[in-house]
Amino acid sequence: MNRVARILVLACLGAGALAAIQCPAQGFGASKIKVALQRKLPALVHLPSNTIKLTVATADEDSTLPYDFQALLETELLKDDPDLHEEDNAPVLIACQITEYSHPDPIVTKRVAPGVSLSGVSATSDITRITGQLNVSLQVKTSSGAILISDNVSAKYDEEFDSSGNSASHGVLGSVTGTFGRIKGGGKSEDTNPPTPSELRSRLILDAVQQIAEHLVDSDEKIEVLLAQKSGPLDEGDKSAQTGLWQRALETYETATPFPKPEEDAYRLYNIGVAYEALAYTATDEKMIMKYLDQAAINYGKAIDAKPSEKYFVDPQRRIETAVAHYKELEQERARAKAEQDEANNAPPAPRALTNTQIIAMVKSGVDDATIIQAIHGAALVDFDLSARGLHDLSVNGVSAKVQTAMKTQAAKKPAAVHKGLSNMQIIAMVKSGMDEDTIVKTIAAAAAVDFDLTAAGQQQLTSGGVSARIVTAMKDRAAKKSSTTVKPPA
Amino acid sequence: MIVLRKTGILLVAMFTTMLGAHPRAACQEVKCGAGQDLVVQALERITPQSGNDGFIDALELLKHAVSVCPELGDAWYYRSLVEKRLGHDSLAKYALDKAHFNGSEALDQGLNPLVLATPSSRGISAGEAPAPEANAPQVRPGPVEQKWALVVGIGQFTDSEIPRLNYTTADATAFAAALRDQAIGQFPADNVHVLTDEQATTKNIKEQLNWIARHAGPNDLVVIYVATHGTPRTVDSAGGANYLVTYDTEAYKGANFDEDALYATAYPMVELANAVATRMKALRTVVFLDTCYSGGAAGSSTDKLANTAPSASMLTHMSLGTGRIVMAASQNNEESLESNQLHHGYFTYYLLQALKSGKGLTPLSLVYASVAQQVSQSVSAQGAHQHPVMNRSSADADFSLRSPGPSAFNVQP
Repeated sequence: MNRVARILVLACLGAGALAAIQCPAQGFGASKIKVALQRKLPALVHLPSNTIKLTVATADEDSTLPYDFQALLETELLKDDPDLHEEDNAPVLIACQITEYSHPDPIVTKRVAPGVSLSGVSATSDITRITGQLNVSLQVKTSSGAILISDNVSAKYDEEFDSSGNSASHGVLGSVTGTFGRIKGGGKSEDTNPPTPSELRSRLILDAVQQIAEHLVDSDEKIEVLLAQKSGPLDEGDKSAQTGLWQRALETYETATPFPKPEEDAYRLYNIGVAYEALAYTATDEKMIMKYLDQAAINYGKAIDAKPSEKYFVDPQRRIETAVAHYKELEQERARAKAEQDEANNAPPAPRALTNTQIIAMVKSGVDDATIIQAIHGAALVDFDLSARGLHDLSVNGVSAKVQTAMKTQAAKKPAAVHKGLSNMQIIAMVKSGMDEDTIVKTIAAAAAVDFDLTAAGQQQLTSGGVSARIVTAMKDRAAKKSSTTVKPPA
Repeated sequence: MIVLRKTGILLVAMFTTMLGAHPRAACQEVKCGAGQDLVVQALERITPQSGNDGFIDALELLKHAVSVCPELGDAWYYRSLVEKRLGHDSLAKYALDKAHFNGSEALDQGLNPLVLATPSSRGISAGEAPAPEANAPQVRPGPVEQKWALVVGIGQFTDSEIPRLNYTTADATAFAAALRDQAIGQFPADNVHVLTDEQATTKNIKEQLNWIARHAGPNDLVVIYVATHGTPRTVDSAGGANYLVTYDTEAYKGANFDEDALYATAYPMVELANAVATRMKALRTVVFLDTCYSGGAAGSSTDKLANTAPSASMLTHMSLGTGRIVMAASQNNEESLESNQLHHGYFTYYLLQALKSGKGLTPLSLVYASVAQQVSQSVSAQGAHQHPVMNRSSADADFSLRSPGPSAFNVQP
């Protein structure tokens, strides 16, 4: 380095040092101020019982994946709702299907480093990109088969690291999609070293598990956030924030004169975002929560616009976006449930049974016997009191003997039994359940009604289902016995 | 001096908040109940006549209210008025923006406790309006054009722990009948709105007061009658009722008295005072308050739900302006009694008698004189004390309920 160059370098360093002395430190500082927020998100679905049955399945070759996933999900659910417990015959079934788990090998590329070396030659460095994805399909239903919620969740990781192991993308590419940097792990930490395959797997599982838990149970947990510092209003507001007086902190940040340089004001805007986020977590009215979250998102966004290079601005915005999405999903779920309820309410009412009172009313309003008898015979349902007292009341009120007889006849009729015949599928199920051939043949012979499909296609279905020729013959014999049975003719 | 006052106000505010001493998980309603009471406390300190100290006190209370419950839009709105009054224009704008953000009923209705509806001609400054000249002519209303009344009587409450009252609904019904009676009040029947028991919710009372405020003009006559429990806050009570207990007031959770629930659900007396002072344009407005029933003093649970009449300062607040008369059934430290023989409260019974005997033509000052004498004599004969009180905006504020006017107008609510 020649003398001129050295003087230039020294001059630059000196100017930098001077600037550092003249301008008070702004940003997150070496000793970061962290505050804990109590994040609350309501569950997307109301579980009708505390007793659940949890299953996790996968087609992935990683056979321990479902086991790890289930163990973590159980822990996460119990953490937020300690009253939950698992039983085999639980009224609530939670089924998770891992539909994709990908963790490709890291991709290394060479990239031109920013700036120009003193020799004038552009430097290059190795950039390692690590990606991973875990997709899970969730379905929650009652033991009677009513689906409470079904959704797909996805955990993604996409991060670049330079040759020193430092994050080169500052989380911009995605990091873990986990929305909340929870104190108990997960989310993006300040440790920017590239994750090992095992760490990546754990992160993806945790992220997906947390997303599923947010569907099923109210979550209430601490998250840690950073506050930007600068002497003056920012520090003053920080003091209020640290004591939990978020409205005061917000007012101090908002009423402070904006800093002249956008990259300085970015920190004030960031703190405004934090204050709105904190207020959102303490509010209970969902409209207000959404308003606060919107304001938080707006201000985090403004902060990023004003200083895109600040890595600590990225996670909060992602956190808020997910919370907003959660509330929107909650709104949709409620709308769906309401629509279902409305539909159920608008369904035609079940026919009401004809009673003594209605017969008496007809008689008193002058309806002739023939019409009344017609009404009795046409009634889908009757609930007559034909006791001695009931019959006496009828007589006293002018109900003729003819009508009373019609009432007795109608009441004696049993509703026609609806027989559903034994079907191909039931036979296949018997075979698959391990029932021996003799028992199945006997069952077929004894069936009150059968509804076999003995066409070529039906027989093909039986053969594919493991039904033996003997059983098929028994089915044909039984089908031929009674004309009342509904049977598609044999091929 | 101001510092000391501020400290005192803050202590009151903090104590009020502590009443809602709650774990962090406690519901927001509790926080906001305490916040709402801080707003009420602030409003009790500011009238168009208040000096700077009152506004500074009110500002501290309102700041604390929004700190306790940031989404309390009304607190932000009133704060914007107070900040403006104190010359803090940028903070006033900030607070107004927050009122818009959070939503404020007071803002939507354009309430302003600092501007009288009937500015006095006797030197009372009405908000930002210039004070009238000392020798300004007195405001004289023209002939009565229309008459309006809201009559409220509550004897039972959704909260079963609140003691029932025996004759308040009968009092209200009889009073409303007297107003409509062609031989007494001659009020158009459609213009006498009566709320009893389940109709007398906080929301309905507010709506009915709005109805009168919207319709009554300067030459109209307005009557407001309220018979129910009145209760103070246990801290910093100036000795009078701060809240009217409405049908849907919640004062107990289980058997436990819950002051925050009360703050969030009862009707603040100061809102009634402000409605009368700052919203009723009628130059003849009379308020009858019967809010201190002995029935409320019986039983152990009522130790908490103390029952009081309005304080002298509240009666003064309510009678600010021109043509205001306020009558209360008893003094602040007395109970208002009901009579099983009369089947009414003493106050309303003798009020009805006075109106009836004068055919509604007796000026209210004389009606009061008669009622005061009869009530105190009858009650003292029972070995108790009850002395009705009256406040007027000025010595010459007087009129009769049968003041000549149209016999019936059809005005839709």
